[in-house]
Amino acid sequence: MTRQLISILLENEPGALSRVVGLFAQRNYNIETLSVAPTEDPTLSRITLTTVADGVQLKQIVRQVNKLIEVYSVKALGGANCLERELVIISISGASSKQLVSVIDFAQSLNASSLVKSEELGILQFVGSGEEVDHYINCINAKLVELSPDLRIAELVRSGVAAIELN
Amino acid sequence: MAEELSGGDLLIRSLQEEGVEYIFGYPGGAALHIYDAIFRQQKIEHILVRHEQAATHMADGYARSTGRAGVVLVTSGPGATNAITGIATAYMDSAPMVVISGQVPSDLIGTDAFQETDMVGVSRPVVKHSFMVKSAKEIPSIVRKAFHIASTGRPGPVVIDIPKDTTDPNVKYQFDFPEEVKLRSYRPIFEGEDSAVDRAFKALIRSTRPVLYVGGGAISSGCSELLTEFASALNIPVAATLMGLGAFPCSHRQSLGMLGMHGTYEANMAMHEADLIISLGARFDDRVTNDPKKFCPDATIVHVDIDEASVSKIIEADIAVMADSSWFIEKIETKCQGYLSQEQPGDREKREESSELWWSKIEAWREQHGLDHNKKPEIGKPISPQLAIQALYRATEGKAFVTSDVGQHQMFAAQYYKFDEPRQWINSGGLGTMGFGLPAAMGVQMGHPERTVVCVTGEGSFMMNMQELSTCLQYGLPIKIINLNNQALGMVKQWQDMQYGGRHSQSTYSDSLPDFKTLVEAFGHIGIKIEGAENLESGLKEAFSEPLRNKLVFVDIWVDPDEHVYPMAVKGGAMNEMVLGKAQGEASQ
Repeated sequence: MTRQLISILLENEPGALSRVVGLFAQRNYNIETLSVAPTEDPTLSRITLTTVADGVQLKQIVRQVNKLIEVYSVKALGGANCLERELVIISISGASSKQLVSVIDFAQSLNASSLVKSEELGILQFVGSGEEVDHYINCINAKLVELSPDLRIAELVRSGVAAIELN
Repeated sequence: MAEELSGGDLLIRSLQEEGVEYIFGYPGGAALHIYDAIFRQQKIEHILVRHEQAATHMADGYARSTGRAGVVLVTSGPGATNAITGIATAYMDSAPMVVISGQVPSDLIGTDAFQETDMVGVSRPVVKHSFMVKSAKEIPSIVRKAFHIASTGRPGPVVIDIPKDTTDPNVKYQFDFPEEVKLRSYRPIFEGEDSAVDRAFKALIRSTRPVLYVGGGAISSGCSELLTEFASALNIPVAATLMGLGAFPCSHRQSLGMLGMHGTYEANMAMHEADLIISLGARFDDRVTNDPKKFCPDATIVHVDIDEASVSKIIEADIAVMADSSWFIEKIETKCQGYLSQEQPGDREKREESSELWWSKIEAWREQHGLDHNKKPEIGKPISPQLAIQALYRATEGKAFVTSDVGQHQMFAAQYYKFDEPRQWINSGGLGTMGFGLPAAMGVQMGHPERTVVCVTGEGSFMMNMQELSTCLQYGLPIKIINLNNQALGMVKQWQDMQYGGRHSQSTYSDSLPDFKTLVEAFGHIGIKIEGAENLESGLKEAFSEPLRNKLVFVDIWVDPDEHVYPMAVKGGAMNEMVLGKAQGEASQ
């Protein structure tokens, strides 16, 4: 069972998304992350989602999704044939001003950017592959614990994956 | 200039353009503008049912027997939710159907208005597609798309939800029925890859123990004639699923009858020992394969299906053919003819020899444990349900359309009535919907006014939709209902006998059964009660006699309440593991 990335182009119509999401629930597939937005063609939307499945299940998922009348095309992406990005926003509160500076400096050394910095609140943004985002979050957690055992990430928001094919 | 019509009239005109003969429906508040439009025309006949579930089964029976989409019209809320069981039934068995549901006015949607249900949401898992009308002017193109989607590719039900304001008689638009359907994201396949047919053909020529495994898809593709030619030319045994019976004539020498959980001994043995399975429009359902890990251990699997998601879903296909069965059969039949015309005499001899060897095995299985199609009545004993089906087969000369409900009677009908024509046998195979039989028979009779239509049922299933006896009287439907009355929920009881130590939890009700003869007479029909094997032939003869030809006749046959359906697949076993009789069934507990 491995993480799989599926990219779906579908008609930009009301209810189309619910058919895709409903199908996953109905057939007992899971959705780990999901992002939806219109494409360069405003009549089509792109759903990018990640799921956990083996090869046989992945083939079945792709075929079931493809059966939906409003799905224009569906593709399993992965490995070297695509570029994927996910955005994460983290807020940190309860840290002293000195601790906050230290975390933000550390985050920036990991190529994160600082969105908000005040006396009691820091908000950081990081963009990378899903794996990089996971790694970044682990690093920030470790850094906070290092500064004080009581420090925690106050809130974490991930966007879900967006991916583009390379060829 | 095209005429201006209200939404209700646009809908009815569009249905007329689609060639709709009947609407099966039930009126209510949100659908009343549409009902008024129905009143204004004569081309389409509306059949007033007594319950919306029955409307969907009627449309389903009409669709399966004619091949044309059945049409249902219901109101919002309970009208719509009552239709769900019938929609799910059609979905599981891939029957083309268009269900139109009234909806509360657009400005009330989402407010929990009176009789409001999110029909598009509620039906979503059991439809091929659904539409919500936003404006009356969309109605003609939505109707066109709905029929196209319902009837092409792997057929299925399509819902059109119509808010009441979009059928307002005062808001009119030009009627313009689109000739072409524009659906860029819906591209059903028909033709497959020639290379896959090549591989299938080569596998067939190499094979010494082939079996054709045909399902409902073979019937909807209309390939029966070609299939029969092809199977005959190479002397290939043919086993059918519950849904595929009739795709190949059951009385044909090469027919092994039904396979699967209650399939014939020879069909299941042949599948298990085959070295090649060619599956046509079947989906390797769990009631066929039993444990997929033990399924057909020696066979190369050729899987032909129009629905690519069905291919390799349960059993990985060695040769996958994403195509319509008729396309595949035509291609392989041509190859086969070419091969046979140039076959060397030595090769022919070898092929015929291996075929004879395969058939001698099959014949031995048939001889050993095959169904006894010539059961004799035992005087003084309760009627055996198998005997009742055989008597029905003779009384109708094997030519009736037969619908069934769900349970033991369904399996007996599938086993003992030899269906020689596609679409002749209509039952709820996938969803297993009790209450399907009578309304489905009504739809069949509407589609085939001159034919004999029989509903084989049990008293449990029959009581789930018996209110439609009233509809039958209204429209003069001369259906013959054969009620195999075992005074119990027979199949449940059988499982309880075999797996629950004979504890009949909630499966009997013999003290409270109605007198069916009196009951159907109260509905204005004819009732005949048959008890005792010696009265079976004469009772059925009367039911199908000329004086009763135009009457609905309910034949209440009191059968042996303790009978079980055999063979029965051993739970979690391979296809060749079957319980063959009661002694074995109870011993294996």
